[in-house]
Amino acid sequence: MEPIYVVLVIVIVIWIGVFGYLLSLDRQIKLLKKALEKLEKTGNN
Amino acid sequence: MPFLHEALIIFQKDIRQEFRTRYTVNAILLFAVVTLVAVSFSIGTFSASNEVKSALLWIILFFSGMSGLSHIFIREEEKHTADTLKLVARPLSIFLGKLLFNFVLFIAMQIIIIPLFFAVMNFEVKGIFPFIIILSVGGIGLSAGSTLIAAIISKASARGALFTVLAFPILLPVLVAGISGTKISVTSADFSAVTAEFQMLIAYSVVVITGAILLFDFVWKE
Amino acid sequence: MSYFWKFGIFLWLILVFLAAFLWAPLAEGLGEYTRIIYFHVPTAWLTVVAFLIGAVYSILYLRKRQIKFDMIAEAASQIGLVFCLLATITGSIWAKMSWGSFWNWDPRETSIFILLLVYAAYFALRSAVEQPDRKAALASVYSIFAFITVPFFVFIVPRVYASLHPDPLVNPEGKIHMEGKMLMTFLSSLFGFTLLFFWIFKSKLELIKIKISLKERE
Repeated sequence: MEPIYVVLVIVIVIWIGVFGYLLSLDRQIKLLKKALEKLEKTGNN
Repeated sequence: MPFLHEALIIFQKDIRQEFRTRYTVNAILLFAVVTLVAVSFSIGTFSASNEVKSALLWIILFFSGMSGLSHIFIREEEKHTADTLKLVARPLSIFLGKLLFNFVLFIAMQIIIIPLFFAVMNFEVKGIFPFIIILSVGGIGLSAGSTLIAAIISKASARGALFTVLAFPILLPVLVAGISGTKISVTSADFSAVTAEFQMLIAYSVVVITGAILLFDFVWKE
Repeated sequence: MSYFWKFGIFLWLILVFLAAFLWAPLAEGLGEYTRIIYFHVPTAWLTVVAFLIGAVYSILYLRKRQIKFDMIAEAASQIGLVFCLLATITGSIWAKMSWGSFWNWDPRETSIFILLLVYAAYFALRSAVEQPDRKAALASVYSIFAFITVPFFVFIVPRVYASLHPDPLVNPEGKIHMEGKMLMTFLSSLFGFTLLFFWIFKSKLELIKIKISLKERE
């Protein structure tokens, strides 16, 4: 395999790994924020 | 120094306990012998190079150690003597006493297994002095690291497997230097050939014992 | 973290990518594989940074006994684990293409693998303890203990034994032999990745804050 493609594959692996992780973090934050808001609303009622 | 005196007392107590039940000693020796037999049998009539034999020796010693060096704290927890011990002695003394016990245990195992290994594996060593030094200092490093990790896992569940998992990455430098030093001592009687490994083992032991002494307090008080 | 920063980091990394592929020169002996340095090395660097942060917050926890310090240490270790996996996998691919086999127990390869084992052990220990404060204390002790033994592998062993890793980064003097465009691209990449790390770290801290708030409501 041409070296340049190997490098590209490696770079893509890194990007997918990092941004996938970031996305999953953001999703977790959104979910938990919703849960927190729900708790606050029911707490205040 | 009173803590050394206390440490010796704890060490003697553990030795006496061990003599009564011989539980840990049996476990370690049995494991070592079985592994040695398995290795010797698997190699059979094939010849293994000196490098491979050095590595095999350390593997046998390492895993045998893993099977027994954690008992020192688990026994205290299981027999519920840990609380009394906490009241009676300083953490530093407890750690030093247990460390001494583990070290003596490991060396005793070495004294029995190494001659067997020589005999069974057709292992010959030219530099017997560097060989012994490397194994002794390696023993210090392995015991020191194992003692702290043994204390950690005695407070957790799933102890057996967890001990090896936690200990292996921490003890690996000892394996690297030990195997390399042993391999060199096979062909060379000159101690200066293993100075690099020797220095690394000494440095490692110093760092680990110091770190373990500082950290042991936090584990013991849980 | 404001969109300005997120966009800035993203843009910076795009520039690094372009520089790595179009601008920076190639090193002798490595050919096109040189470009890997700009991406593979920062992941290894970041996992060590995360390891350090974990150890620091573990020390803080043991001194102050505030559970949030342990949560931060755990968060840093999770990020470290991700980057450690990335470094090991990409390094392995590179090794296969450059030297023929996926794994060689070259000292650098070994040290990244040790780090992987340490992270795995850390999380195994955490899951083996029920009570939160005991879990935090034991994990913190292990994190610190591992931190003081790992330098033996990262720094001392590669000095003593020869290595497959290329010269600009791993050599007997321990200096970086890079000049001009290559050095600029490399440092920019390192900088960009470090910013990326802190982006991830800040997200995790936010997550921790929300978790603590949720716990307080219960």
